[in-house]
Amino acid sequence: MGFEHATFGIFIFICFFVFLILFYISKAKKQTNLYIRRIPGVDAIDEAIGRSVELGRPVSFSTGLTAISPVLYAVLGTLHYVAQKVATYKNKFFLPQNEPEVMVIVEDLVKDAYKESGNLSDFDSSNIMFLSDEQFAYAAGYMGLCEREQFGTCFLFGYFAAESLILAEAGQSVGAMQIAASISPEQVAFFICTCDYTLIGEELFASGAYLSKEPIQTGSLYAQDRLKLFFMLLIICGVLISTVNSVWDLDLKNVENLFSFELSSFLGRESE
Amino acid sequence: MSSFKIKLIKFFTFIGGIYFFLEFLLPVEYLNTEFGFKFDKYHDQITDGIRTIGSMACGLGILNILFVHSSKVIFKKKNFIYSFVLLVSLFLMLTISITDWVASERYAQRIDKFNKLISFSNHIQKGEIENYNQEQRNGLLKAEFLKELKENQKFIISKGTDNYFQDIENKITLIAPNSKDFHTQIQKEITELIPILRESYNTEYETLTIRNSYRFLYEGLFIALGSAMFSLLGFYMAVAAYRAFKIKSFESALMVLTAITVMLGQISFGEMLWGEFKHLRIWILSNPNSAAFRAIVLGAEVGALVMAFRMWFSIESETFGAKK
Repeated sequence: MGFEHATFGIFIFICFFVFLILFYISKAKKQTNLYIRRIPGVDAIDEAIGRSVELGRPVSFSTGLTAISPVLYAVLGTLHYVAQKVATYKNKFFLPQNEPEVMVIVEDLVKDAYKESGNLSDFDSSNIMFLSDEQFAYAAGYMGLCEREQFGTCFLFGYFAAESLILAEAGQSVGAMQIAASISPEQVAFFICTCDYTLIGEELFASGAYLSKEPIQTGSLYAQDRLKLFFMLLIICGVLISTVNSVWDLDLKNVENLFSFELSSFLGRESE
Repeated sequence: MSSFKIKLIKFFTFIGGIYFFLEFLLPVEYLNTEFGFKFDKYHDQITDGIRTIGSMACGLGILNILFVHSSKVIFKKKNFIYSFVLLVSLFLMLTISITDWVASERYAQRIDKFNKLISFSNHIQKGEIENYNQEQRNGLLKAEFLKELKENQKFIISKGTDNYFQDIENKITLIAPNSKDFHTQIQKEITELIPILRESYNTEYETLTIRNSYRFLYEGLFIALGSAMFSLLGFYMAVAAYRAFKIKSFESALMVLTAITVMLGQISFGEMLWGEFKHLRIWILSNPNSAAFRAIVLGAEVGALVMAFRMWFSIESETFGAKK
């Protein structure tokens, strides 16, 4: 509290933003063949699971330190797909957990995936295990599990911090095929070094839509891309204004201030 | 899940979402003056509610650990010994932490009794205590203070001297319940006594066996093991760098060159070789590197924003149960 977010620009932006999401979701519902570009890391998911099945080694899926957040919901799309595949091939599936709340959601989703693949009897809730809510205790638990169970494939999707390299190296040491996805740029570098495939930034959000081809997820992805385009244009505009200001020494500050017009003045109030 | 339950969840999700949305967007001043709606007040309560749910979920984690590992131990499954060690560690840490907390609370309650005497004195002064006359009330307060003093005699002596305790006791005994500055004197004595007692309790608490056991487990083992795990990172970074620094293509050659430049710019040896390495490092980190970082963050944040709006409006995908 205290910082004034109530700018007229933000208000317009949010209205535009909500409109974009709803518009593209409805468009995706009508037009089912919307194009999504290929993501090599997502394409490799089937190969990774297949390899694990051939080797007779279990698959692991870690959501890292992800709490209940939009990132978790993005990860769930991929998790559902992986769980379905693993259930179809009757492979062992481990889900080491860091957050108890996330564990409950994940367990429910994986159970649903097993049910949909018609192999509910193979679902073993004891494989969805809470390791610890402490970052390095979780990493230690994951390393131990990786060594004992000799994972064939490791998926590292979600939010990761300093433990990311420890987790990825644990998989690397047992010769597992690894696919990682993180929104944190610092951890992406570690994953690129140690994993076979890495989804960078927003690709994590795209993976669920790419795998499921569902209208809601595809529509959201389209809205997200258009929004990014909008931001790119804004950045270019900002760069141009700054350049013109500095090179020709013109006063275009009024243009810069256009979107910082406060909502309180729009409502006829003085803000602090 | 029944349709009613789903609707209920959607309703509460929307209400929660709209609260945080308005809190973010609307001017606080406007809400306070126009609607008399104090966001600050409700914000704390809502945050407390979220924390409470989080602590309940912690129980779920413990239940899962008990379920997974106790079944391994009972049925002597493969590697059950690790599960046994984990369960023993869990119960040991839990017992010692709770006992340590109880011990610290016991001392806090003793201090609290003296604070209550000050508050009792204030109530008497304000005439909020009925059934007794002023002298009787003051007499009660004095008796209560002397009783507490006696109970804490050993702590006062451990901090001061025998004479010090005697001095305070004499002072209190000599204060006449009908004197004008009775409450001022009593409150002054209590206020002076509290820091002495707090220090004394703290000294005793720190020497308790339970406290030492807790310190051994937490500071001696838990923190040390956490640091050991963290230190592994140094080794892993070197391994990962070795793997990454293989020149296979033009791009990888460019990356190795950049990495070497940044590394040389970081150390004094690089500066000795060429003074410009330092400036080159700063330029690489603050320009191309920052630009790439920001691009990743922007893309991820936009994705998170879209997902957050879907969560707010409960636009569920089929994967998460829209069809179920």
